Amino acid sequence: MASAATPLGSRAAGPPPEGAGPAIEIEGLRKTFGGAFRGRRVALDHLDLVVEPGRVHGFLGPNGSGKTTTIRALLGLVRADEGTMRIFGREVPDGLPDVIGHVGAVVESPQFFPSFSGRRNLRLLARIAGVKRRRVEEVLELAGLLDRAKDPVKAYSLGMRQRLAIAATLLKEPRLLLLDEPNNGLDPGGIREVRDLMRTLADGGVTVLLSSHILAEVQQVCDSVSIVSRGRHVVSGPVSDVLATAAGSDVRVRVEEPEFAATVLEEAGFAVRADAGYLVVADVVDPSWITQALARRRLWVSELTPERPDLESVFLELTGTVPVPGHPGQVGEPFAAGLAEPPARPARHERRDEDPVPGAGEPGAPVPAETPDEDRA
Amino acid sequence: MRLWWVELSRLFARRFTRLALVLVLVALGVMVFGAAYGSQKPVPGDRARAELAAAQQRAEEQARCRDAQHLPAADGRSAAPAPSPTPSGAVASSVPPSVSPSVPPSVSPFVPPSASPSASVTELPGEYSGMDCSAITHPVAEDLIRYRSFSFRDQMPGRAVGIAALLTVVGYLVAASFVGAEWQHGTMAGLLLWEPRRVRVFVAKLLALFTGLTLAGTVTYAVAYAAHWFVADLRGDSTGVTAGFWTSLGLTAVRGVALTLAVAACGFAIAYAVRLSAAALGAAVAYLVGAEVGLRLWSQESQRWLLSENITAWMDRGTRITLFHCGSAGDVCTARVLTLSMWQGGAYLGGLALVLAVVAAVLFARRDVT
Repeated sequence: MASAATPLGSRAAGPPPEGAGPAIEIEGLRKTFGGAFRGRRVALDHLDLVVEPGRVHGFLGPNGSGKTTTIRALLGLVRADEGTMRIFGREVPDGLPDVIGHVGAVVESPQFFPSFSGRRNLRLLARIAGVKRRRVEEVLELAGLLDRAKDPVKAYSLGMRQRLAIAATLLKEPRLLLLDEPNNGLDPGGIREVRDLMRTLADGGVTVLLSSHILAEVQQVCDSVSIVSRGRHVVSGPVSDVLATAAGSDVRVRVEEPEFAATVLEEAGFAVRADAGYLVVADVVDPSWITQALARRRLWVSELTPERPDLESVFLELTGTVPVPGHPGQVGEPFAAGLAEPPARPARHERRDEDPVPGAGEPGAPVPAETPDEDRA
Repeated sequence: MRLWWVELSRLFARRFTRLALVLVLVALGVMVFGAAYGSQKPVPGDRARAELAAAQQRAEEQARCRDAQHLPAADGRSAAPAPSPTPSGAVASSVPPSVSPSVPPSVSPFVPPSASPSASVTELPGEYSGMDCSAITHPVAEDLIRYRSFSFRDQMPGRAVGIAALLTVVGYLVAASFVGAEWQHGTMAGLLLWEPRRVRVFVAKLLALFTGLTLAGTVTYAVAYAAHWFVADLRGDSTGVTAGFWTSLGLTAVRGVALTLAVAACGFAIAYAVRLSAAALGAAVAYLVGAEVGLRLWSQESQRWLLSENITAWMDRGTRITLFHCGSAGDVCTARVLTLSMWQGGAYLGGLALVLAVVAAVLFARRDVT
């Protein structure tokens, strides 16, 4: 996708059609699937979501957590049982006709008429939206499909279809893009182009809601994220805030006599594991506490490296989907033991703000030096 | 309007639609070839002679029928074998019905076969038992002319009904495939991202289908009439075609196209509701087996609700269904004739299409698109 420098049209940079409020607001969204013979399954369980305008917002969750259902509900493809949804202030799905001209979407695997060419598919869509034919050629070029535009879609690879879908979303010059796994089937170059395109669009005032499983991509491109699990909202906020509220930071420690050092640290209340000659100390609020604890036993630290949590580890922790060896996880269920109940926790960064004494009671907090050095002997 | 135009474009861009149109043209070609093959201009006077001979034979058969049933003659005279008047005033002699009316012994000049009246009566005990003698109408003039001559006036009305049958089957398949493919390919969800008003989408598709089929049907009829007229004029019989006849043919075409639309709407609605082209085909087969065969056997009274009877009523400007009620012993049966008018048939077909379309639209508006 050739992208970033390509003009996106005049409408893309314009203000949202309705005020300056959130681009998307979802409150208490509930959706169940199934029927009398198949049993009912709760896909969305009073989900809340807010996406501010002009940002790239990551929408994360394990398989079956309700991301696609949320996007489908926003677009009027599925009917919610309860809850309210607004796009640019208009309640949807009733008000969808008023805003659909500003919304582009790629939902799961986009489908086109297989025997029609890519160009003909786009021209049909363009005619529905009253878009000029010239725009079709523009987006085909933008998607890198100009040379293959005359080929039937059935001859396209998955990645090319994905490119065509993204091209279709750009036909309308949208102010809101809902992208559900847009990188499916794309090669690394295509993934980077989509990333650059999203940033360019966001810089031009377009709001992007990106549902993806490629967490590194989300971390790179998104301004904010929301994580959902089992149909419920788990956490929302700027990416940096969500990362900072991960359950403590791990610290990698190189020290002489690692086995004894591990014992010392465990006695001090740390959780420690060995990893390739290092000790990895979990959930460390202040790394200096490690050096203090070891120094009291005359163990000298030669290397101490805080390990920054990435979005993947935060995601796995918050959604309870950390793989457990020997326990194959099931879609829609947490992998980790003890997480049978759906998450009901508020956003982590919000909870931290409510903590009266940050760090109090954390493992490894400084304690009186009650342990004499002689213990080592 | 834009959506309607898009759907119309898509309809004619589909390979299935194009294939169906080609098949219609091929069928039309076969029909025209069949009309032209072996046809020749009628010899002057042959037809008049054949009509006269046919009328004589019909009158004789009716007379024999009445004889066999010991009924008085049509003019109230005695039941004794008597010659019947013919249109030309000639007196027809009795002809044994055993002589096949479709194979006249001679044609030009026509020589009616002769046989002993008494012999024919004795040969045919019970032949005419229970028959309505006035209903005996064969043979016709065409049966008595040795060579074949395509007559536009006589044969085109029947062929126009045949074209309606062809268009109806093709229309049903095209309609079912038109929406079924969209569900199958998953493009319906994509379309709703551009036009979320589902009823509008449904109506646009249906109207596009109607427009396409009306165009195709009109062109098909125009081509068929023109081609057959050309054949009749070149190597057949194009005489006797009046303005009233053309009007009648035009109305047959209108009814044929309307029938195509109604049946196509049914296929469209079924495929839309079930979201599968094959469902419409399955429904058609199930109907043919379950209703047209099963229901007809199970209950004679139900015949008035069968599509075939109503289609016949619509295309033939009315139809009569004879219902037989037999006693428990099965030895005494009474017949009752049920009349279905053209408008009854049309209203039934239109109503059925409307109900199915409304159900499909409501389902489409309410169900999730996944």
